[in-house]
Amino acid sequence: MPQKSDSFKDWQSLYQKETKKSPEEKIHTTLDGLPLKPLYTSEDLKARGYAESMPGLSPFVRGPKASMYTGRPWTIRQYAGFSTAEESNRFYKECLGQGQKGLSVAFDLPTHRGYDSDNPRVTGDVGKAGVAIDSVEDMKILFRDIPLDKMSVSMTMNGACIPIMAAFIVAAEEAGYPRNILSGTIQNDILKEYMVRNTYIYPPEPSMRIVSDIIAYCSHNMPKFNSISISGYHIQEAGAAPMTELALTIADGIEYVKAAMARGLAIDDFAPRLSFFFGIGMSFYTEIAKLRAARLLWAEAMQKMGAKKPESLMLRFHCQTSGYTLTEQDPYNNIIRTTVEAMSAALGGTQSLHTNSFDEATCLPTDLSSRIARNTQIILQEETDITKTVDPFGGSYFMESLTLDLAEKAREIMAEIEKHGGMVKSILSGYPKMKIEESAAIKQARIDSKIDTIVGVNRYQVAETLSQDVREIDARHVLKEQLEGLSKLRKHRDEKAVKESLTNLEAAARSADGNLLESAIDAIKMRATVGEVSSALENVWGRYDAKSIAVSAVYSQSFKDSKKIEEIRNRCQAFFEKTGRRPRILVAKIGQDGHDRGAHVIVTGFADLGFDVDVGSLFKTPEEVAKQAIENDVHIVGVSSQAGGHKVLVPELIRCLKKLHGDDVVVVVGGIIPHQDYQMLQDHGVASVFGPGTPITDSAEELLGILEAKFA
Amino acid sequence: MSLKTEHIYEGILKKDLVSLAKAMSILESKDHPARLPLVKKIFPTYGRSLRIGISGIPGVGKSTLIEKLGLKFIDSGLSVAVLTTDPASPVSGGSILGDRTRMPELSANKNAFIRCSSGYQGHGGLSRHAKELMLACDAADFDRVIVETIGVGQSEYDLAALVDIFIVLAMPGSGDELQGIKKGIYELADIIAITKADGDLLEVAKTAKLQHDNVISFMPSVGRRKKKVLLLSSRSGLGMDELVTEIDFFLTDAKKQTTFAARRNKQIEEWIKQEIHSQIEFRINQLLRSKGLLTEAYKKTLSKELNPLEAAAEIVNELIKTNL
Repeated sequence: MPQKSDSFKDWQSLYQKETKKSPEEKIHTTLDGLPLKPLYTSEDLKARGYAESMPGLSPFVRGPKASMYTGRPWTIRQYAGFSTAEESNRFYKECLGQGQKGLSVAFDLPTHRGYDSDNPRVTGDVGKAGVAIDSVEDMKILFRDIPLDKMSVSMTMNGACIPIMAAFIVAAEEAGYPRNILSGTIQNDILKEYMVRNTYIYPPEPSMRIVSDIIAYCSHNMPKFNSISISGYHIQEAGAAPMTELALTIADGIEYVKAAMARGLAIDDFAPRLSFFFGIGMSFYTEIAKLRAARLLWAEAMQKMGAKKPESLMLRFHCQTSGYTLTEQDPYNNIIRTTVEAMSAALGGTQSLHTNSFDEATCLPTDLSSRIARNTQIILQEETDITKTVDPFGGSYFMESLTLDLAEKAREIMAEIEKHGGMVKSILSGYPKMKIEESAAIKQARIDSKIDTIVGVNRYQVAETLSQDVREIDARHVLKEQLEGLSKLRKHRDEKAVKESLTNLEAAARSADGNLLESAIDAIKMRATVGEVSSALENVWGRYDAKSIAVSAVYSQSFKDSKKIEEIRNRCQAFFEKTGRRPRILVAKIGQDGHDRGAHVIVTGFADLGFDVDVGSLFKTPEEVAKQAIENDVHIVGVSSQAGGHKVLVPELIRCLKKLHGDDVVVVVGGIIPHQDYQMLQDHGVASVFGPGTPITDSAEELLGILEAKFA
Repeated sequence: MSLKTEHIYEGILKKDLVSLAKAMSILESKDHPARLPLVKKIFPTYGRSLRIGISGIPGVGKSTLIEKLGLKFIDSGLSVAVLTTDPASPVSGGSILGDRTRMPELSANKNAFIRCSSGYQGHGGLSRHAKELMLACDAADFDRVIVETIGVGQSEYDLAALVDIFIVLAMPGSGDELQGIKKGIYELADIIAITKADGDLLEVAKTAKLQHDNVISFMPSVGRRKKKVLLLSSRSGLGMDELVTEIDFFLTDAKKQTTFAARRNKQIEEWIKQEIHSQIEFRINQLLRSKGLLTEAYKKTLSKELNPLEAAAEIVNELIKTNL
C-alpha cells in the first residue's frame, strides 16, 4: 500500500467528523458490485498503474478520434418507425427537416421474426413497434425521396437480417444508389437476442453463419456500411447493470470476430466496420466510465486476436438513453432523466445518440415528444460547451480509477465466458441469461421496497395523472394495406423465377459455401417476400425456441419489508387451506413481442410470494395461451404486453378462453399500456390493468383480493 | 368454478378437456370433498392408457425428449397426455411451472394435453397425486400418458412402481454415478437413454453407453425382457425412432409374456400402499393438530423433561388409543 499523505489523513478525520462515519463505511456499492468511494486521489491512479493516453491513439480510452466533438459533434440519430412504410417515410422526412442527421429504422415484430403480414400467427402484431416491411416494394416506399448517398441508415434488425439487408440493397439500387456508396449500420447482433430480446429465428449456430456472411458481404461490397452493431443496450434494458452489459457485449464482439475469421476473412479487412451500441442508464459516472472502458477492452481484445490496423482496434459506438428508466407516472420527469443520460453518453464520447421521448413508457412518441427528445441533443450540442473539449473527464482521479475498475471486473466475466468455450456455448448453457435475470429481480425488489428512489413512482408521487396525447396506430388499417400490397406483389411477379431463386437460397444454406446474402438479393429482386426468404432458410435450420430459465427466491431476499412478504405469503396459504389449491397464475406473452424482462420478474416475484406460477412461452397465439390456461386450470392469466399488441391480442385471448369454457379464468394485463386503452380492455372483460412501475407486491395483493372475493 | 361437479364426471368420460383439467384440480386439491366420489366414478376406466415414466436429473433433457416423443406418438395417430412436476419452494410454498415452455410444439397440438403440477413439499420430484392424475387420463381415454419426475430421491422409485415402462435419462460422462447412489434407479429402468449425444459430446456419450451396457449386463432384467441402453440427440434426431420402436416392442413383448399384467397388478398394490401411508399421515397430522399433543411433548422436550425419542413414543401411544 502506498503511504497516505498527511493531508489525506487530515481529510479522513474531517470526513469522520462531518458524517460520523469513516470514508470506508460510506463506500457505495453498485448493483454489479463496484465500489464508489467518497474520494479519489492521485494514490488511486498510482495503485492501479494508470498510464496516460491520447484520444485518437490506441488504446483509445479517450476517444476514437483525435478531435472528437471539436471536429464534428455526435450524430443525432433517432430510432423510429411505425405502421406502414408510407407513414414512416413521411415522419423521417419531417425529422430530417428539423435537424436530425441520420435515420434509424424500427421494424415491426413480424418483420423481425421473418413473417409476412399475412401469416396467421402475427395478425395482432403487424405495424406494432415498428414499420411493416414485407418486400422490396415496401422498402422502396420507406426510403422514397431520401438521398441514400448522403444519409446514413441504421437498421435494427437481427433475426431477419438476410431478407431485410437484401431488400435495402435492392431498393437502393433500383432508386439509383449502388451498394458501394451506401452508408449505415445493420444491427445483425444475434447473440444478444438469445440472452434478452428474443427476436431470433434460427438456432445459434446457423445464425452465426448469417452474421459472418453479412460481415463478409459488406467487407467486399459495401465499404462504408457497418456490418454489425454489437449491442449492450438490450442487455442493460433487460436488467443487467452497466459492468455486466459491458462484459457480455465485448464477449459477443470477440465471438463474432472469431466466427468471421473462421469463415476465412482477414481480421483487418472487416474489423474497421464493426460497431457497437450501448444503453445509458442513470448511473451517471459509471456510464461514462463504461464507455471509456469499452474502448480499452476492445483494443486489447483485437490486438490479442491479431489485428494490426489502428482502425481495427478502434471501438466506435452508438448510444441510446435507457427506456427502462422512463416512468409512466409524472412523465415529464423523463425529460430530465433523458438529459442526464444523454450527458453521460456525450461525456463518454459516443459517435451517435438516440434520446428517448418522455412518453415512451406507455406508447409511441408523438410529434411533440419526439421534438423535445431531438432538441435535448441539439441543446447539448449547440447551447452548452460540452462539445468544446475532448474527453473532459480524462485524468480525473475518480473517472480513470472507475474506468480501470470496470475494465478489470469485466475481464473476469469475459474470462468466465472464455472458460465456457465462448459466447455461443455460454448462451446455450444459460449462464448469461441467468445473470441478467437475477440482477433484474434484485433491481425490482430494491425499487418496490424503496431502497432505490424513482421519483414519482416510489417517492414524491403525485396524485393527478396527466392526460397525454398518444400516437395511435390503426392496426386494422395497417394490416389491410400490407395484405393488399402482398397480394398485388404476388400477382405481378414471375412465380417460377421466385421459386427458383428460393430453391437456390435453400441450397446455399444447406451447403457451407456461398454467401447467403448474395443468394437472397437474387430472390428479393425477383420479388420474393421477407417471409418467403426467411422460411427458405427455416426449411434448412428450423425455428429456435429458447429455454426459459427462472431464478427463484431472489426477489424476496432483496425486498426490504419482509413483513409485507410474510403477509402475502400468509394470504396465499390461507387461500390454499380454504380452497385446497394455491392461487395459480399463468404469466403469458402473446404474439411476436419478445420483451420478457417484465414477465420473468413477475414469474420470480409471484412464486416467491407463494403463488403457483405457470410460465408462458414466447410467440404464442391467443389460442395456444388459452389452451395452456385451461389445461392447467389456472385461476388467473396475466398477460405481459410491451409492444402494443394488447388491443387485438387480449380480446382475442378472452374469446378463445370462452370458447374453451374458461369463462371463470380471471384475465389481467400488465406492461406498456396507454391509459386510454384501460377502459377498452376492461370492457372486454379484463379484471385489472397494471401499468409500468406497479410494485409486484401491489399487483399480488390486488389479485389475491379478486380471488378471495370469488371464493368467499 | 363454473363447471358443476357432476358435469365434470360426465365431461371427463366424454374426453372434454375442461372437465379433465377441473377433475385434475379436484384430485390435486387438499381434502377436496369431490375427490373420493370422482375417483369412484372414473376408477372403472383404470388402466386404459399406457403409462410411460421418464426420469433424470434437471438439465438432462426430459422435457425436450417428451416433446419429440409425444409428437411421434401423435404422428402415428395416438393421443398423448403429459404430467410434469416442478418443485415447490419450501419457504413460500409457491412454484415456477416452466416445463411446458420446453415443449412448444407439443403444447400447441390439439391431440396433446399437458398438465404441470407443483411438487408437494418434501416429495420434490413427483406430485403426490400423480396416481390420481394418471387415472384421470385413463378416464379421458388418452392412448399414452407420459409422466416426468425430477431425478431426486424417493420420487423415482415411486414413479417406477406406477408405470408400464420406465425410462431413465443419463448425461454423457455420467459413468461415475453408476457406482454410487444412482445404481438403484438403473435397476428399475427398462430403457436407459444417454442424451445430448451430438457434437462435442457424441464421443463421450458413446463411452457412457459402453459403461452403462457393461453395468446393466450384471443386472437382472425386469420380467424376461432385457434392459436397453440408447444414444439420443434431440438436435440430430439420433435414436428417436429407435426409442419409439423400443417402447412399442417392450410393451407388446411384455403383454405377450404376461409381465405386463403382473406389473399392472403390482401398480394397484403399490397404489394402495402409498395411499395407506398418505391417509395415515393425513389422519395423524389432523389428530396432532386437534389434540395439541405435539405442543405438549415439544414443551416437555424443550425443558429436557423428555428426550425426542420418548416424546414421540408417548404421542404414538396416545394416537393408537384413539384408533386413528
